[in-house]
Amino acid sequence: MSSTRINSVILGECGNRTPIILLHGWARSLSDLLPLGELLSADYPVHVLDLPGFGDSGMPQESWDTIQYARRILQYLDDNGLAKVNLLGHSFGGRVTLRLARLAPERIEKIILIGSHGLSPKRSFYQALRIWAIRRGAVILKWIDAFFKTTLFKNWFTPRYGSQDYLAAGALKGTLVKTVTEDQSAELPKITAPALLIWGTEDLAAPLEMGRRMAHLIPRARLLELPHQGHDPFLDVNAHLCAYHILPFLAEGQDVKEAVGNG
Amino acid sequence: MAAGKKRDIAVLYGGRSVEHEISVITALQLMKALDPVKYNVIPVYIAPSGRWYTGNSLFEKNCYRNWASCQHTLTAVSLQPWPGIGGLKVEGGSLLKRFSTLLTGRFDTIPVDVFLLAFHGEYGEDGCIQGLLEMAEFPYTSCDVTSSAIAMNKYLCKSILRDHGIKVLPSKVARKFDAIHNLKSVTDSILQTPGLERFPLFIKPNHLGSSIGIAKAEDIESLHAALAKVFLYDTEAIVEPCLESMFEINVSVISSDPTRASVVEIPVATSGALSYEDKYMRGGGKKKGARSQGMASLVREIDPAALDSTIKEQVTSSALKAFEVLGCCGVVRFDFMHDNTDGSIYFNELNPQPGSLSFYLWVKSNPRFLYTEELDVLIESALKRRSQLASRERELGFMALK
Ligand SMILES: Nc1ncnc2c1ncn2[C@@H]1O[C@H](COP(=O)(O)OP(=O)(O)OP(=O)(O)O)[C@@H](O)[C@H]1O
Repeated sequence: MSSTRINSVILGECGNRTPIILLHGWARSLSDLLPLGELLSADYPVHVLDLPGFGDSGMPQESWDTIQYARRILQYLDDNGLAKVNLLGHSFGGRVTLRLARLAPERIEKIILIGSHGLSPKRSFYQALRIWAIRRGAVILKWIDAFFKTTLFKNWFTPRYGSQDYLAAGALKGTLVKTVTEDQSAELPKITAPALLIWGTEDLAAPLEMGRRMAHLIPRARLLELPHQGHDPFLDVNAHLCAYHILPFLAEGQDVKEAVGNG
Repeated sequence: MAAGKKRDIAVLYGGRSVEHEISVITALQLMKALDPVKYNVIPVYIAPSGRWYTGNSLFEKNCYRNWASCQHTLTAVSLQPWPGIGGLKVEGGSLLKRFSTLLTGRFDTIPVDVFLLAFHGEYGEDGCIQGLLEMAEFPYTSCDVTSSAIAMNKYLCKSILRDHGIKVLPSKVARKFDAIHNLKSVTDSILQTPGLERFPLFIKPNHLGSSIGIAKAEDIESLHAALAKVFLYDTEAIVEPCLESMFEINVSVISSDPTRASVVEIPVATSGALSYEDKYMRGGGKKKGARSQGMASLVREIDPAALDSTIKEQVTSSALKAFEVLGCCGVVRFDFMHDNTDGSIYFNELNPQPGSLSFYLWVKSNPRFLYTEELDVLIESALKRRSQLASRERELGFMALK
């Protein structure tokens, strides 16, 4: 698996500061996070990555789950001689960030999550019922297709009930199915790294409610709510606002450590 | 800032100027950059009609495109020019509310601590709105009445700066009123002005910005045509010699403590045939097109490595001096022109509320300001200026009126 190529853009020449790794969301690419990366790179070395399966990175040989993604990122750190890093993940990149924080806590200094996934959303009774019915329906249709050699699932069901992401997922359908429903709530209380959570209050893809629960579950988390912002509160000029909060968060405790290091 | 309480920041924009739309873009951008932890952001939009509105739909671009339907979701407000009013007056409301206002004289207000101005052009950049805010004793983040008014009069601005040793092109103002009565005497007096005896000449409106109505004149006929064109938009035209081989250099200045100048930029799109003479530029600079909209999207070269450092220094020191001479506050942008024929650098104009508040320059400057930090600086300096004004001694009374 580790042979899957990772494309990245490396910015900034900030000597021995802990680098920041930026991980984008589902069906997006590193270009999403470049403006923010450029602003952060004034103070830190920054690696903006294309996740495998997206942008100019290679396609995984099999359908990965988020743990496999996390392992591949660890491999990237090794390949680039990065002993310790800060991680920033948006949406799907947040899922991977959370996994990494558990998988290799000794290598992760701080984490930043923007409109991150990783918890299953709270649903109303009606929404839950509908989703249950759709999942059952899919299973039944697949039986029928297998039995009668029809293509109902592909040609009738999917265009109607498959999500936008599912329809667009192409070769990554397996990964999407594995990751989209996962819930890391049992893992979050064990995360030791300090976390900054940035959330648009109007986020429809990862509702604010999820951010609040996440901030509650991660022991050293702080939530920054950005009013009037949606799922991507770091594009264009918003990158300035994010950097304005991220840089002091990363700098916290640095003076103490440097002083100890020198003494 | 006192911990806990957020400051109420009213972002004031739009207005009755031809640059209305650019102002909306500047405002939408800066509202995204303001820190929601420190500030409570209140959009206050002056529609082209001149009426003031506030409401959450103003954060959306669509509101301006579908104004007829969006307007109903907004609250009409106004500003009473009374010291200590403390906020915006809510207009209209239910019948009961209006009746009670009528009876008691009390009305609902939306509290405001600081007005953040994002206007371009008439009424917003020329001292008008500043006058209203002074009367109501509000802190606001732009040049004051005097410096705004001077900036919006190109001739006046250049005359003052010339008297303080900053190089400007010779110029002459032509008034529409005079031209209507006697065009020949107007053109004669232009052509008799020292420095304007020869064509080509450059004609622009004396007050407007955004390159509206500008023209080059090669002879008397085209001078007449150019004047006629300017008088469609403005009552005064300013005539200068035309620099045929030049490039522009802009720099922003901000009133922080101390007053700072940004890196310089060379806007490329503004004058199609921008020529960098080899003697001034060593090799090619890196070209960069910013991603954002508004002023920030012009093709420009920011802090071009190849630009002669003496040119940079000259522009920067002239800008800092001009900022002080004119008594500017907030963030402004000075535009200079470099004459390639003899290397002279001329002050061209001052933008008291520059597009995108020049944030794209500050983020490349040293020390660097993120846009969010730049806005913090503007708000703090507005508060400081207001408290200085408030500390003046003012004895009012009726001693002479016996
Ligand atoms: N004397 C001149 N000779 C040659 N070109 C000139 C001269 N004056 C101005 N220009 C050109 O015309 C453009 C507009 O002029 P100026 O900046 O004075 O007017 P404006 O309408 O206020 O522009 P803006 O506010 O958009 O900068 C300048 O950017 C410059 O390229």
